[in-house]
This record gives sequence, C-alpha cells and structure tokens, in this order.
Amino acid sequence: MSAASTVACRTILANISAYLDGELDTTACEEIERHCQGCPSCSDLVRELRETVGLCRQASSVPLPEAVRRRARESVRHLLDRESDANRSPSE
Amino acid sequence: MTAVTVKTDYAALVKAAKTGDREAMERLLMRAQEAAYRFSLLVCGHQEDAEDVMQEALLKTYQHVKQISEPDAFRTWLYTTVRNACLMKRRRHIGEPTKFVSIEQSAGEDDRMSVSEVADESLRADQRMIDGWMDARLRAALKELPAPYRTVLVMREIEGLSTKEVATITEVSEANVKTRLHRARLMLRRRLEEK
Repeated sequence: MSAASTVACRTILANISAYLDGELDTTACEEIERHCQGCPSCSDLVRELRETVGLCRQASSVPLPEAVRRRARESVRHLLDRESDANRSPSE
Repeated sequence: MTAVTVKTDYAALVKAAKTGDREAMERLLMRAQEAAYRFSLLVCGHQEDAEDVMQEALLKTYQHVKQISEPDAFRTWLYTTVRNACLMKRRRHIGEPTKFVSIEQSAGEDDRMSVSEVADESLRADQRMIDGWMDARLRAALKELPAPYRTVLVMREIEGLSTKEVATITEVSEANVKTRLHRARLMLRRRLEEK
C-alpha cells in the first residue's frame, strides 16, 4: 500500500459515518467512491459498516416477546380502566 | 419508517391522547413500554429490571401526557426518563446481595422447595423467551461495547432518535454524539466479525 493510499484510507476511515449518514457534499462522496473502486480494504469497510448499520435498523422493527407484550397490554388496560372508574362520578 | 415519521407519529399520539382519545393513549403507552423494554435490555443489560423499567415508563408517561405542553419533545422526555430509571436500578443493585432470601424461605422446608421450584421454572421460561428475542449475535456484540458508545448506538440506530435528541438526553454535544456513534459502529462491526 502506497503512502498516498494510506493517507486516503485514513481519510475514508474518519469520514465513513458522515458518508453513510449522507452528511458529506457530492465532491467528498465522489472522492470516497473513487478511492473505494481501487482499494478493496476500504471498499470492504464501507460495505461491512453499511451492513452493521442495516442490522441495527432491522432490529428496531423486531416486536417484543409475546409474553412481555401481553403483560404490557394488560398493564395499560388495567391502568386506564382504573383511572376511568376513578373519574366517574358517584351518580353515574 | 424514518426518524422524522416516528417523531411526528409520537407527537400526534400525544396530542390525541391528551384530548381523551383512549385508543391513542393505549397505543402511546404500549410504545412507551416497548421503548423502555428495548432500551433497558440492550443498553443496561439487566433482564430482571426490564419489566420494572417498562412499568415505570407506563405510569410516568400517563402522568406526563396530561400536562405536556410540547408534544414534539415527548421522545426526548421518554428516553431521558427511561435512561434515568435504568441508572437508578443499577445504583440500587450496588451493594445488594447477589442472591435474595425470599419471605417464603422462612416457611417449612417442603414449602420452601416447592415455591422455589415454581419460581425457577418461571424464570427459566422468561429467560428462554428473552434469549430468543432479537438477533442473538447483535445483542452479544452490543453487550461488549463500552456503555457510552452502546447508549448512543442504540438510541441512534435502533430507536431512531436524531443526533440532537441523543445530545439532549445524554447531556453531551452533538459533535460528541457523532464521534461516539462513529466509534461505536466501528467497534460493533469488529465485534460482529468475531462472533
């Protein structure tokens, strides 16, 4: 690996999150993409980091375990029913 | 669903719940509990505390919604409340015995065994259910990250909070949140590779 590519690789490493988050301008994005075309290790890094972020984002849509959801729903209904009874006037 | 959509969705539920819409209140309280459970398990890692933190989120959200003046700030309030509840739980654990002696253990030997066996089986069933929840490799890798990095990563990537919201909740600058997120992603990638 040449000294020039090492410097470029370090720049990629420092900016990779901003790149993935769409915070870099077009010129900076193009520089990264050009570098990655000729640098397998940076290309792998970008791909793997994108997969890591994707894995986390998929996790956000996993529903809670069914038994936990059931207990949570029961707690909500119990609380709302209790509050509704308490707010009802004695004449009702 | 994007972070902005989730935020406006929360705000819309808060506004509707505040006017007495029971269905909106139910949905809001369920979502608050789900967020509390995920955060507690993924960030704090104490499975035994997760449902307590969830219960606290339920009661506090219900009380808070009645007096909220800025529905858009609800998410920041919720995660600050959940984070504080987790921290309080952790502090309470310090100095506590690792094994609790229950009231039932003062009963006769036969009674004590049966109560203990029932409790053990229930705990094992809960443990199996929790172990099977979410990607096990991701959960194991997250557990190995230092807490400040794990907190930022879970809030940004899993809970979908903005950099600004995370900065407010964790009381650090937005630049610091970005730096932590960047390092956390690199650490997580490395840990996932090792799994």
